[in-house]
Amino acid sequence: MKDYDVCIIGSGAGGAPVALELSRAGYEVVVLEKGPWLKETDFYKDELACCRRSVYTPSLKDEQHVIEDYDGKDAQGKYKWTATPTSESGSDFWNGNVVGGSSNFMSGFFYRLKPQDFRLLSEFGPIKGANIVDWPIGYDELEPYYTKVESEVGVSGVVMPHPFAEPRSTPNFPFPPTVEHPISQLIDQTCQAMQLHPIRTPRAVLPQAHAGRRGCEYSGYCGSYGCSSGAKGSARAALLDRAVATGKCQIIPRAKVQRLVSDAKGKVTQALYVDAAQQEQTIRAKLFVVACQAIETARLLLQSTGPKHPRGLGNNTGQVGRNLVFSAGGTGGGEFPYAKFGEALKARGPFVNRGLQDWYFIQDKKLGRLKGGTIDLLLRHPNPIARANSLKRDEDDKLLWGSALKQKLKTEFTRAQSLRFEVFNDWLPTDDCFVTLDGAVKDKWQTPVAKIRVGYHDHDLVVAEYLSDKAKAVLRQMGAENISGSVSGSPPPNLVAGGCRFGNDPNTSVLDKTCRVHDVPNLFVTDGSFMPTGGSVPYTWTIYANAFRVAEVIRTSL
Amino acid sequence: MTLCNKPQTNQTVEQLLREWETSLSPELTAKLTLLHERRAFMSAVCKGAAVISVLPIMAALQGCENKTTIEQLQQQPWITFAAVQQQLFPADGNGPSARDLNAVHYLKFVLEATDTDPDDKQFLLDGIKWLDGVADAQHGQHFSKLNPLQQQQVVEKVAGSEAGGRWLSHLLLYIFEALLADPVYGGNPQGVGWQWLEHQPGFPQPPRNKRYPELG
Repeated sequence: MKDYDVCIIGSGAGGAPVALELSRAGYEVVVLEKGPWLKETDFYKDELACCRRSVYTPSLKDEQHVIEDYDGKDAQGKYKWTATPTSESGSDFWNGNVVGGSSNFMSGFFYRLKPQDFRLLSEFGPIKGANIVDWPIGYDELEPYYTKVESEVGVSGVVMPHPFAEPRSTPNFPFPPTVEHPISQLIDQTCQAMQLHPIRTPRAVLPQAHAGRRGCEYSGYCGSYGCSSGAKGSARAALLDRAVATGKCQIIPRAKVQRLVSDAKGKVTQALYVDAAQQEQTIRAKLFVVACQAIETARLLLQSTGPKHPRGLGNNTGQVGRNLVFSAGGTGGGEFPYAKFGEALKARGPFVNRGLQDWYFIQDKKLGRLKGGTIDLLLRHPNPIARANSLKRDEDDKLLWGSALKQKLKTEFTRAQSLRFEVFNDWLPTDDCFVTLDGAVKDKWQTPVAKIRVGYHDHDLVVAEYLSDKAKAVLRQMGAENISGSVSGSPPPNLVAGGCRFGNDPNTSVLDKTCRVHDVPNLFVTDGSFMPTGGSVPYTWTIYANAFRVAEVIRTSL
Repeated sequence: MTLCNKPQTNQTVEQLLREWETSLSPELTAKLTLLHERRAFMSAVCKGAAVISVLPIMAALQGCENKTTIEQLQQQPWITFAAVQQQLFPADGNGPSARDLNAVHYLKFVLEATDTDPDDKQFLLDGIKWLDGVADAQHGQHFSKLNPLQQQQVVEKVAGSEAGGRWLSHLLLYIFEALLADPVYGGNPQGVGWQWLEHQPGFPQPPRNKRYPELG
């Protein structure tokens, strides 16, 4: 059996930068990925494959989660929680289980965190019931890697002056923005009239061919879909293909790691996995990297007990799985009738590429100074089956059918463009959001599934509501009709981090500042699990950047 | 299946619809709601020989190689499914009808999918029995034997009940898939649904060997 220098578990945005950097440096790297290796030639604009069947994720019968939802308070005023397996609820917490992970299916809205996000406690003070802490590193330590991601993954955009712009070490993005939709002009005019500062959202999408990848072909079906051109900066297209090309990186798809084995000294020695033929296999390596996305990373560590780690790897102080965060926020939108705004708004393909961070930090008479967030603007998702299904009831919730239904479909599909907004704000870490192993429910390999308690902090909704109101005001000013918006404490499963905080104190964190597990010298975690607080932007750029940072630590330690 | 049996007619329409509802456990209705309001539920489907199309309704049907023959679709329960689909999505001069979309063939593809949720499958199939029961109580005949106006009246009754409304809502979802999914799956022939709703599909579109059952 071959001995590897590094074994990486998980091939997404957390694992791939490590695979690329270490294989480029000449180390023997193996990547174990649970899902299949799908490539550009497997991705089509097929709503059934993308979004209506379990193609890129496991069947919930085979592999599931147990979700503990808030269920009111008991007589003593204590929270009650109801646990439901997702095979019963139909609620799916998987993202992309394929080579490259869920980065294959992201929209690629790429925002950096801001320096204040690294010291949320110092900047904004404690909030009762929230486990807010400062990060053990500052923005300046991550900045070089944000910059590195711009060229390695491919980020397109243009730097714009903004009151809350984070510092950057290069003057501009390496790729110009992708082609933009006519509605973006209307957004700019409106926002400028409102004294706001619309940002051209940086995108992990190449506007032109680069390094063996084709440029964006503007099909208009990006988020939730695998990219057929390679323009989207998935971990697979942007990084892993190049890692494999070094001849030093082997990717084993359909390899489900069951457990990491550790020795009497506490070091990890082997990864045990089940291969595509359902045979048990073993990988030996000098060093192991776990990057299975926050929930599954916590699950794997908890399952990996050993003589020095009776409660699971890195869990001797009981911290693994705690302080899981999602992204708080909400969503809404407004309609722009073609009769009033012109047929040009029908265009499908170009991107809106606009965001608002004017309220990333809020100074409000009533609320005082508090951390706000990001508003991203985008067109309604183009999937027509989902849309038709959402139109089958009338205002009184009565089922429509026959000619009345057909007329409604015709009218709604052809009447107006819809501009949506998404609010991203901090999902405050609390004692009510965490991962453990379920005591009863097992997956098809008879290992316990992850149980996730998904409580949120009420403060999250206050901030989300504030931002949602601002977004609605912009839509109103633009002249939109049927403006709506809602905020929710429901966790978005595709925006998840935390669970293995990094920090300086082993009693309150799982990883040290280099993302090495405190008491396991040859084990690193490089997905979004390390984040002690989430910030108010999508996580992917930060995950990529941090994984490049940790890759350098690993390279110098090997 | 006992779908061709003559239904019991000694019950009123209201009794039948109530009985239908009480036959569904709360757990089942909760699950069916989630399956259909969130996303659908299966991933592996038809494999086998191509269909040779002989009737106009099948003319553009090339996507789903599930060995369906015209003769099969002329048997129950497909005759009744086709009839109720045609009421739900009629030929009214406003876009394609269920028949134009090959909707019954598409539904067969769904019901024969190997990992279709068995409860959902059973619920869809059982619905025919209740529909025929209501048709018989109201008009003394199975649904497929009624004239279009009578069929409309039956659907109206069924839609007004909880279980019946749920059943029709499930059928509608699969009509929407036949209307708007890629033609490679057997519905939406030549993109007729997309054209009607002025919907611009994405590209590249899936070739036959890259339909979702062949992936993953």
